[in-house]
Amino acid sequence: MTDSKHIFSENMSKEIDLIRSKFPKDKSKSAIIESLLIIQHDNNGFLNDELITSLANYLSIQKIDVYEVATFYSMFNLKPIGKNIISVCTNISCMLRNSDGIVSHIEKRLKIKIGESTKDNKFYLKDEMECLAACNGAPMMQVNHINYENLTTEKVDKILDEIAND
Amino acid sequence: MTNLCTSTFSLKNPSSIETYLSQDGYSSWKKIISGEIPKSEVITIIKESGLRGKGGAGFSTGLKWSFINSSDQQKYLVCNSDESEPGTCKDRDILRYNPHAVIEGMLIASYAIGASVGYNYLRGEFIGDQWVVFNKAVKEAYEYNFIGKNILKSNLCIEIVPLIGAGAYIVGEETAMLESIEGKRGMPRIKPPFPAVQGLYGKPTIINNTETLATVPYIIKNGSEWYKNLGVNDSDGVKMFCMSGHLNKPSVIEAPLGVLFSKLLDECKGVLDDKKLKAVIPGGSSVPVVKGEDIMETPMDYESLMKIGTMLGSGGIIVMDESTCMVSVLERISRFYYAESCGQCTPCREGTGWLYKTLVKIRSGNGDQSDLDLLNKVATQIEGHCICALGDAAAMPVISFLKHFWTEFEYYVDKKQSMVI
Amino acid sequence: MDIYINNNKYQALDDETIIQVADRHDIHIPRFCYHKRLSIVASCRMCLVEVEGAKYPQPACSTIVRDGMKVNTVGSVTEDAQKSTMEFLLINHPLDCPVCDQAGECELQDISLDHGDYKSNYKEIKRTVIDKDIGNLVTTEMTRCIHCSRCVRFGEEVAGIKELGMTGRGEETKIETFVNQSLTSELSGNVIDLCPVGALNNNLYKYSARTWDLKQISSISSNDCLGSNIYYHTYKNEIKRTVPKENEQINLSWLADSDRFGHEGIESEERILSPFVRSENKLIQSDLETLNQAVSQKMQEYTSSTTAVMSAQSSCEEMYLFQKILRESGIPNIDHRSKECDFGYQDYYPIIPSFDIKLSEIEFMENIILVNVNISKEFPILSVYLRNAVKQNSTNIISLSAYEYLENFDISHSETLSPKELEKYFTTTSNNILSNINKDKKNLIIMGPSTTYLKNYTNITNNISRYAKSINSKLSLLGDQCNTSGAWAMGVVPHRLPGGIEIAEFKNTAYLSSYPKNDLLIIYNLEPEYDFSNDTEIIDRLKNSKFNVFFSSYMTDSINKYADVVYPLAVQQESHGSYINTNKQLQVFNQVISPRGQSKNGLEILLGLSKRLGINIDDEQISKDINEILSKMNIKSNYILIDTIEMTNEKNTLEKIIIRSSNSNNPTLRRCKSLLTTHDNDDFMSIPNSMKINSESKITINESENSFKIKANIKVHDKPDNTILVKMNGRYAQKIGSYNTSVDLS
Repeated sequence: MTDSKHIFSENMSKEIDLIRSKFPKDKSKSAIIESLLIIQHDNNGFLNDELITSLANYLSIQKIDVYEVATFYSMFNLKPIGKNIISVCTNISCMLRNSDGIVSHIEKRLKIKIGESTKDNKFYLKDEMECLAACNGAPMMQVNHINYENLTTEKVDKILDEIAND
Repeated sequence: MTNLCTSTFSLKNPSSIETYLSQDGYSSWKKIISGEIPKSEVITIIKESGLRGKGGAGFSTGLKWSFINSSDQQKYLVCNSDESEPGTCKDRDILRYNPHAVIEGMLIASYAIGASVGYNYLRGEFIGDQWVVFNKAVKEAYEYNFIGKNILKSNLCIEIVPLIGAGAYIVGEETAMLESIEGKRGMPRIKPPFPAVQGLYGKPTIINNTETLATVPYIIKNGSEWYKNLGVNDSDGVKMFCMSGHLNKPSVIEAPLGVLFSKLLDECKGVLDDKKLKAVIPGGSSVPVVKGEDIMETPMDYESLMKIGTMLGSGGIIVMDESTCMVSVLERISRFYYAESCGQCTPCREGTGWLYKTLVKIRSGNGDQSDLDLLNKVATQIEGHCICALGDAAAMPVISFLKHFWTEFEYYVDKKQSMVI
Repeated sequence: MDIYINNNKYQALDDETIIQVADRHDIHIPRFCYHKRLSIVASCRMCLVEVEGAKYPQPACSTIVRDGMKVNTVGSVTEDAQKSTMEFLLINHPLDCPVCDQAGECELQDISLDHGDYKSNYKEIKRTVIDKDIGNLVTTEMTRCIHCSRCVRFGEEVAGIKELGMTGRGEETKIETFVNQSLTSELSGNVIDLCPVGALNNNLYKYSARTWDLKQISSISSNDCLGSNIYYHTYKNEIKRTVPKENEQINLSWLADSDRFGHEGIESEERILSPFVRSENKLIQSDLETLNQAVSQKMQEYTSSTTAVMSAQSSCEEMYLFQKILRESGIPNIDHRSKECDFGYQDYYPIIPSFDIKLSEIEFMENIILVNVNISKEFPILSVYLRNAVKQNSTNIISLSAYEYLENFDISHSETLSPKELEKYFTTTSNNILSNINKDKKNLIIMGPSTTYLKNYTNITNNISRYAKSINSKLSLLGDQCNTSGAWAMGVVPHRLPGGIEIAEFKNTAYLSSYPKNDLLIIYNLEPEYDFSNDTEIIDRLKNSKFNVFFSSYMTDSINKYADVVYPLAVQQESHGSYINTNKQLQVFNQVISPRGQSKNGLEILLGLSKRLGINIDDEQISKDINEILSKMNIKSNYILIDTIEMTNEKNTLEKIIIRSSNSNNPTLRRCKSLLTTHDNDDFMSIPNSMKINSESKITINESENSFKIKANIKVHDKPDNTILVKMNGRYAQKIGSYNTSVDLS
């Protein structure tokens, strides 16, 4: 007897079912990652214990299985974050093209440090560790997972202005 | 310079199935399905073409396919689109500009190894662009019945399923990817057993890189000899080179293997602001760095790069000019491997942090000569002692940076500042 | 094939790993993550050894041998690799050995000494990890964790419930449960043994002794009929902790939590520390001589109206002497079946009820039918075998019980059945899942102890036996107590002498049959509140009898109120003796600590009483007798086939049954607070859906003339019909009435 309690909407349940159907019948764990991504997206960009428990119950797996995954992959946030996620690639190719300057410009502009969200909760400046695979467009950033490449400080200002006014 | 994977890149609506079909796309798949090319020949063609894995390891693709456990059981194909080796940005372009080549390659590979399902695992950060494009392409291919049930009335059924990750470099390691598809933490498995024997869900599985699979339809279409001859000298075929860093025009270039580095540099209009070339990391950040002058006239192929003490890796070529502080670059590289270590095996979990912390210490002016020796020692202690290659990937840059730029590091611990500022 | 280790030739089997060959030949290779009963992850890299021809040293735990392979476990390649790993492990490991419970038996400490360097080059700040609350049994010091993942794998692979997991990544990888949830597995304590460092600790042992001061004494579990082998570790006459003693036939390397933490109750404040007699309506301290005199006199006075009930937790020696004293005094009414109420089966019962097959044979069974038993809760060690059967050979397991139990292995089909439905289920097999069971397969039926509590046990056991016979199935009868098999063999039943010899004139009787005419009640290591099928009934008898004799380790309200004499019984760990386990093995246990206060080993007390009664016997003779009885016993199958029997009437009354909770199944366990608050804190009453009772309702159960107000979590169920299920844990339970009766609700 497993606990089947969950708090997903009918729509969300359908989406999870669809993800579930990509994998063999007895492999419901496989659906964790993509499900967590859509659940997180639906919950202002972060996960909490209740959502993790819900997914575990929905997929009839252990809660710790979901939690292990949620804490391993860097795109999952276990705390509330700002609405728009900015990830500036600071890896080597971007670093050579002054990505650090881009980061400090954004920090100054948004009055936050890397890893923080703005007071008005509009922006979250992620401490991106990974290379975002746009090395020939360095320096680059992703805002809400859309790439902006060959950045200059002016270009960054323009992009952030547009999003802030959205 | 040579267009296979990149052949649709400059066309209008490059990702659409119509564009791909206009380029004779899916003709290889149709030939195979119709029996024009017998199943048994597919692996032979790929083997003979000399195609090698383009994700980094460079293992013969045809040979890999032939390892598949041929017993009558479920088998899987996995396409590795978790492109995340720093300096590498080729698969992202294939996925968004030529997704149908990936699909066709996956279909051919699945058929050849007897898999009824092919998963394409895209890194999580591709969710905004490549993920959308690739899903759309798969949908189109289903509509054309290139994928799915009873493909082109052949009774053959192959499903192609896009999957998305959620941010973890290590998942690019093939067994970590299998773990991730199984819904677990991306922790590499011990080998043997190799995936071709026991892979996804314990079933025989072949994992190939996106570029590798996208190349397959072109080889089937034009034959193994054709592909072989595209290369230079002993290096068969082509490779996508991702030129980044201090360049006037950073670009992704598909070129014959064995092309001279200087030629690629020319394609990128030379070093940024015509400064002097200082160093190059030729295969993604985990391969050993080499001095600029040592690589300038080196042919970009597996063997030649090995000769100068480095590797072709993923083809991510990072170019550094004379203004580059090698201590800072190494610190950034170390930070990356420290952050991306999965944490399961001791040398990597503990050692990558040690390397990074020591480099931070040096960079902040608190290091001394003994810390340089320590870096070498710790890197040597990690190298070859881990389950997967991430440990080596963290160790190799340290060892090579210290080897080639020892004086610069010495200067830093001595003067507490960079030699290049 | 042959391989070479340090230039010596050794035989190896195909598919063996280097470490397996080395271990077999006592060649030492250090390791942390490797454990012979867990999957191989090769992640600690401590067992790296030189394999000639390989570029780098290879992990001995995962490297499969090849013919002619040359391995070096000594020499600079191996030693450097191991030293490297050791250095990495220690950079973030705290140097708190002086305050660590693991010190002295710490694998990290030992291996560091043998394979590490005396100094570290690490000068940065060490990692600290916030401790997690994972229950009252296992405490954590996670800063010490070296991420070997044995505990995580144990949960997934052996305990069958993944509770501890690896979270975070890289250097920040942690071992924890999901948001500090307590471990629920009844095998959870094993992670303490598995943890090579002091990260997972025994809460009862914490900071109470140093390992090198401990004395190790072997013993046998007193908590279930499997008879797990145990080592008690003592210091200054106190049990500090319990660890498993490896036994390949029984508990492998594991212990159930009830065995590991079950000694906590010994030091309870309720221990009876001296003999008591009643004087002016109060129990006052006395001496054994006075007690023996009173009891022997009453035995002579009330010979024909005496009832004696003894716990099946008693040793064979106690049992043998107890029945001998009584029978030689002319008292025939002896029993151990205090929780049963239907004895119609007794003449057809096997001489020794047993498991029928070896535990190691379980994995070869193709079909296993579980009847009224929650293996994972009641017999955690047995669950390891069943889980293995499912994993290795896809054994088909069916569960037929009054409640939909959670198990740690896959159940292919489960049905929730009331006792009446259960009785019928085996006679109408063509209509149910049993129709799929092929008699040519290897079949096994396991009957849980709580089946014996039922009012229609005779019919159930008869029907199951007939069915078992029809499908050539083995029939396992699990005992309620650790020595239930012994109690049958030693004649602690009214109708059989030791060795199962029938007594013709006492057919169809049981301890209840003398009611209400029992003038003398002798109750041995049983607590009226918890150990009888009907507590109000036994307490009524105590009220109405003329003299009540208790042998008990702990004081309870009813003993305090109704006992006329109380013998201070030492607990099992303070005694020596033997038990017959469910596999019919006689296992001897030693005295571990000396009895508290003036309490005494039951055998010693009984010998005193027998002397007083003029029965001439000593412990040597008792052992001799027992061995002779056992050697002569003719053990047949477990089938209980009864010639004529009436089916139970299908009346539409509401029936109440108690769900057996194994962690409060004997007086000592009932007093193990940590165990009960961690594992058995989910008291509930489950009521049929049709009763339309909401969770806020206050329930009163009317049972014969009594009514009980019960406060507990209310659950509802669809099945079984007309049944109320009550799970209340002995020690903390309120009065719960009978184990199996008809009731009304209000």
